[in-house]
Amino acid sequence: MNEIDININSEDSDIIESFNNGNKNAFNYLVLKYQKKIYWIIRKIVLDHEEADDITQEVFLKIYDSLRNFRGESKFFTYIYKIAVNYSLNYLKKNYRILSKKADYDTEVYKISSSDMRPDELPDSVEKTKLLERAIRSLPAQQRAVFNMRFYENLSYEEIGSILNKSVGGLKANYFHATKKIEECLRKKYIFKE
Amino acid sequence: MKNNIDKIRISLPDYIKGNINDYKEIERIEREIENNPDFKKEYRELKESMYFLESVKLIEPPDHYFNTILPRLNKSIEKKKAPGQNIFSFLRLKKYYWGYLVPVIPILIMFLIYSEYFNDFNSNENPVYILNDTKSYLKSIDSGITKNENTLITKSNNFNDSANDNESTSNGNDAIIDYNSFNINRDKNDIDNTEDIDAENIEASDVFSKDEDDFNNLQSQFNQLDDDSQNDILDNLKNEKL
Repeated sequence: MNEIDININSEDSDIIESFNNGNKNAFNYLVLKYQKKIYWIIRKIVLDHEEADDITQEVFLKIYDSLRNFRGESKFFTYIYKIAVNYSLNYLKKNYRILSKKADYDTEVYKISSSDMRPDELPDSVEKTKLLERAIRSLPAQQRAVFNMRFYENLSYEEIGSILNKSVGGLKANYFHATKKIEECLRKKYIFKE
Repeated sequence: MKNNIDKIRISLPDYIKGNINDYKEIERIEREIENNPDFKKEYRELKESMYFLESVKLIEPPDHYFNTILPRLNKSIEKKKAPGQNIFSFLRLKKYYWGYLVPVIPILIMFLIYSEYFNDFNSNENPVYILNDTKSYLKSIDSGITKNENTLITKSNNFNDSANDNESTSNGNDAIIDYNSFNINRDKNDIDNTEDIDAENIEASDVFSKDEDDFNNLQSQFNQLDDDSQNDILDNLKNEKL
């Protein structure tokens, strides 16, 4: 298959085959096809845009280097999803101390800015976003990844299991504990009427 | 009973999101919500927070951000394909490698310094090696040096100005001795030690003369002198402890 035959809407397998046959532009189609998804997967785990951008670049470089080794045993999207999630989790593990301090700092900021708020008053969209970030930051790395994949991406437990190499039962428990922790975190900040 | 409730609880987030397809499981959860007030409360609270999460979005990246990903990526790939264009490219080693290099380099330097010192120490302890080196060195330079009747060239650590000086011991292999002036300060103890250690292997020509003819010429000149002159020279030699 030559360069003319493929485009952004082509099947992943066709694009990969074209790349492996020497068409380096085929990789560009893969990037254009998946860049938004990959960015948001990473962003929802690491939360910070700059970090998400760096990791997105690293992930695509990794994909570029390893595309020849992709044997098509799993779906290509699962394959790149796995790389993205693992890179994000590695980032969280490496920067655990810095991120924990940042989470504490964010809490302080919110407490100050919400001092005048009545308990029944819902925060504006900026504060809502801050709350969301704060709630997600309260999760341990793996729970954060599981929560994002299940809650935002609607991946099945089997798919998440193949990405993280975990059992379905363990992932269900992870997801439940993540939602409970987020709920507790939000409730502490007076969002909901009692 | 408690185990059953725990199983149902774990499925609660998926029930709220409508991600459960098994009708029996859905029935079990709904029955529990109706009959168990605590469970009902937990369900409501979780539902509220999950609705809140769905209503909130993270801040969008800057405009045109997604247009910049591919060009930057292609630039990185090009750079990767042509490493070494930048002489400082080695500085971009991954943290992983620096983590090993930083502690290893000082250890290597310390090892080199220590081994250098240790060699010097050994060279003082084992003069046999020095003599053997001296002998082979003499043989190697024997043919390359211009003959000079008044000069005898020798090479030995025992002819150094100070036998206890480490530096001169290790580096003093180029001593040039003027035979006529006998301007040599030698330590008698050094000579004795040297003879004890490797006397059998040392030949006169190795130590004093680069040419046997020179030695014979000097001997014949010495024999032609009168007795008083010979005695004077011998006395001088004794005084010089040669």
